[in-house]
Amino acid sequence: MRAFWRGVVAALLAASCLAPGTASAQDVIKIGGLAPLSPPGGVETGQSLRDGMMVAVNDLNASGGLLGKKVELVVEDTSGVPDKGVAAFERLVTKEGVVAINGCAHSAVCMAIGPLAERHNIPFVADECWADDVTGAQIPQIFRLTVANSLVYTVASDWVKAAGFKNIAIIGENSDWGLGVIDVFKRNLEQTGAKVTSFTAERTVSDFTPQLLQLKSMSPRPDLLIAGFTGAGLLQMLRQAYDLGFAPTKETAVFAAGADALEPEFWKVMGRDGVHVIANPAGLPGKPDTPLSRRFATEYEKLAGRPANSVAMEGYDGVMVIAEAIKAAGSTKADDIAAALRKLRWEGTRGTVFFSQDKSPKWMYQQWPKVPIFVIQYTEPDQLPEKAAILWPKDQATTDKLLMKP
Amino acid sequence: MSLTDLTGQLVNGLVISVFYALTALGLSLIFGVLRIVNFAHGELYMMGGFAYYVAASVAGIPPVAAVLAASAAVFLLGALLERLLIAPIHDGKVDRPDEYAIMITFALSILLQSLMLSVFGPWSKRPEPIFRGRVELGTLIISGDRLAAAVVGALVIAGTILVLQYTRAGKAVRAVSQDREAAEVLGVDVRLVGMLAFGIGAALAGAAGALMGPVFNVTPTMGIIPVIKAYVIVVLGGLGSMRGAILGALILGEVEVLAMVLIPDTTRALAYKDAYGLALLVLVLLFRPQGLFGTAGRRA
Amino acid sequence: MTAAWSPARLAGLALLLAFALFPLSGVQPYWTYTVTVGFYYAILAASWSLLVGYVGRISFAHAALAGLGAYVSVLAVTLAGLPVAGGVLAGVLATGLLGLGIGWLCLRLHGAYLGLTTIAFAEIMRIAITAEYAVTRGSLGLRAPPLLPGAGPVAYYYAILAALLASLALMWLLLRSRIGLFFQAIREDEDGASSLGVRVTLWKILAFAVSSAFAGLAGALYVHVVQLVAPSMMTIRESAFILTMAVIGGFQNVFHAALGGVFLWVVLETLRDMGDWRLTIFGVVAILILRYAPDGLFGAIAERLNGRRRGK
Repeated sequence: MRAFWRGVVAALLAASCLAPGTASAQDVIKIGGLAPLSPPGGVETGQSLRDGMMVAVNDLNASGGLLGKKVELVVEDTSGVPDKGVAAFERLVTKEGVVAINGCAHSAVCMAIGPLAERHNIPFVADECWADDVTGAQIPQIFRLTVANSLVYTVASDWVKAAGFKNIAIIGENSDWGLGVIDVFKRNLEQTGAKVTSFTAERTVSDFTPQLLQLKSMSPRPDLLIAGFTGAGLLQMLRQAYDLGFAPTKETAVFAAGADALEPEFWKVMGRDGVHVIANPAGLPGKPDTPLSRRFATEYEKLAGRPANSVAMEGYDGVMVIAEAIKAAGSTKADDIAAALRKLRWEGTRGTVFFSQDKSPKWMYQQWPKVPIFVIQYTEPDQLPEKAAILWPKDQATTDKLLMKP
Repeated sequence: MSLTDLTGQLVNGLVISVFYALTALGLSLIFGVLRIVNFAHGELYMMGGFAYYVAASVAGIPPVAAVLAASAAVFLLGALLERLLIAPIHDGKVDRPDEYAIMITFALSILLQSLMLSVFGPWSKRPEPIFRGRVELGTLIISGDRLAAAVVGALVIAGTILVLQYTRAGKAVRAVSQDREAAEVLGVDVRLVGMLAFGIGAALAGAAGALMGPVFNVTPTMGIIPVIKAYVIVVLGGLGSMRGAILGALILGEVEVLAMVLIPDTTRALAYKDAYGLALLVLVLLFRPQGLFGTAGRRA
Repeated sequence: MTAAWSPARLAGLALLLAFALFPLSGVQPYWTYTVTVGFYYAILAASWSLLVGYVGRISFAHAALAGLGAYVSVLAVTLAGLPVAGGVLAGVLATGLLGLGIGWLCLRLHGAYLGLTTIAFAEIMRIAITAEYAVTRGSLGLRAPPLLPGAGPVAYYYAILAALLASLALMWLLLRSRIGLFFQAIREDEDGASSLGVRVTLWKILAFAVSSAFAGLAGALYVHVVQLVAPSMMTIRESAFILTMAVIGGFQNVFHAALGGVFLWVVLETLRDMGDWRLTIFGVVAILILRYAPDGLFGAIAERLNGRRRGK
């Protein structure tokens, strides 16, 4: 019988080790952040998002916190993978006790956690995940601070049409976002008589050479390659497209849809060969040129050691709209925060943020409809996105022609 | 598809085959001498990639020398691992040696992956390649980074074959591979040869990793797919056969490239890329377990 | 009589009691949830040890089989309109049948060759599920309906604990029946067993099918707990993880392997701050155990407990 009691004691000890020191969160308000900080997620995107959030929390605490309490940011890594994102969300809610969550990047993750946000009743501000269905699911707890695929690629398609491309090839990752890229371009371009060829591949694919060779040998040869990838895969594809003499060339332009083309890592991989790549940021630092956007750019560079970009601005705005809503509501209750978000009008780094209550089209619900969208083209090595030539929208364009390699 | 285009695809397949052959050769060599399938082979490939990264990007050694340094480092690692974990099998120190060999190398693979994840993080490392840019051969344009790596890789393969063929150590390795007991009777130090074979096999994988690292990025998980290719190749060519490994690599490289291009459903062709070889592996094991070039009588 | 109430068994009962009381001890729901996921790994590790530890047949397809069970269950519910329990049953049947097929195809293969073939099957399953986006939504994963709609973590905890205990009981009954003896005979000396009239072919295939079905059960239940299924649960690395759990727990005994599953998962979650060093350490531990203590951690503990008793 001694062995029995020894077993019981050992088991109870093991159990008590698990019983957490419930550090009560009375004196701080915890805001959760989700970001892909490891592959196959877009790691550089995740870091920009996280660092943007950190600048926001520093700002909040420097001005006395929220409702007289300090603000604490808890960021969890999603790896850009739905199941890890779900586990990270569960941890933020059930272990950390956050009052609201923002971030994400990678639509698949955003969509997987939608129902969780609803079940736990936690307001969630989606940054940098573009698939229509993120807001299209019309979950009352979900707000979106970035574009929807339909919003951004309709604009991008307008540019493609205006630029006169006739044969478009898309290599897209098989994710909600990547397939959305293919879908929206196809819908918008095929009606104009342009030919659209598309491939899909797993996000972890690293060799695109056979497909690129095949595209290169197609007749007529595609005049635009749309790289619908994120993370390391996007940079690999761009590198290989250049090395094979496919794009960017006089015959074929290349449009990098993923946000990784906006990060310094892009230039590390591409070197001089990244010139003439076209990218598609949802916002540019310094546009609009307000004191807040300028101050953010300086502070971000100080904290992160690299220049700000649209993703970093989203991270900042994401934490800030939650803070603004808490301030307006005077409460950290989920329902109060969500109600305040619905009524919010706040001057952010990228313009006045508000969340539409329209339900048609579906993805418009709690979507910020006025996200700035740009099509840019790099004209020099190591260029920052905001220094690149702006091709679209027309009223802000700094050049009216596409710059190709001679 | 024009002739140039077809040549482009075939050359790309050939280039990829060189890396496949490097990895598969090591796996086959280890099997020949030690009669085990090294399930940690992909991680030795990965260690080669990281050794190259440290040598080229951190220590600033020029690329070709860094490849050699990385191979040497993985040779030592392989020899050490053999002495610690594999030699006890042949010394009769473990129960159920078959299962032990599989499980120990499999556990080793997760250990090495996690170790590199802990030390270097999951992020892609991008060391400088041997050569960067486009190489134009007439109308054919090839990526310079992988072409240069393939040339070095082919030299390494040729060197290995010469060593196995003409040096004393190489002859001993081949002798043990053919008949362990007979070699032992003839005075070959089978323990030493075992260590040597594992070291060389590891070094070949390491060289492949060092050459491919700059082309496809160095990450802790970079070995997972190449090692599966190597499994397919050695099964195709017959486990333990050097010639089979090289032929198998050539076949797989071209089959993959052509399958991807010729399959009409373009939206899925790329997604299934890694499955073609696996289907081949299953078919060979089920219907011709001695491999395409092996002789019958092998107990699978 | 010592066999019935050996100290190790008493300790096992004590552990069982501790598991039964655990959610009532006032822990955060998060830990209840974590241990629930640990039970998933326990079923998987036990099913793996049933095949490897008792019959001597290796498989690296268990994570993929669990994933397959999960996908079948979810699709059976969402496409065919089955209730969740029916979906789980469909998942178990599908993986059992597939296990039967793989077992039959691989009859002639041994050791490393079998390992390679199971890796190939596992990867083909994972790649196909990832590529067939229209049905499976690829690497994004499929949303799964809940096992117990509206229930909290404690209810899920007891449901999965019950499934684990039922699985272990079934495995135990199987192993202590004549079939268990046949398994052992095949493991020790297949040709010898055959010459003694054991129907080697039948029992080898059966072992593969049963082990696969349990893996499918684990996956099908798990997916209705976390309510999401994605191909990332089917990777070879995930299978390596199951191997590590079973080896550390003790892969020659289904109970020890199951304990290894829960234990390793909970420790992993407790030590989250250590990041990937956790798996590095477990890798080292697994290798040391394979080399020096093949009975595993719980095997060694059980032996210690019983041994001391005998010494008195």
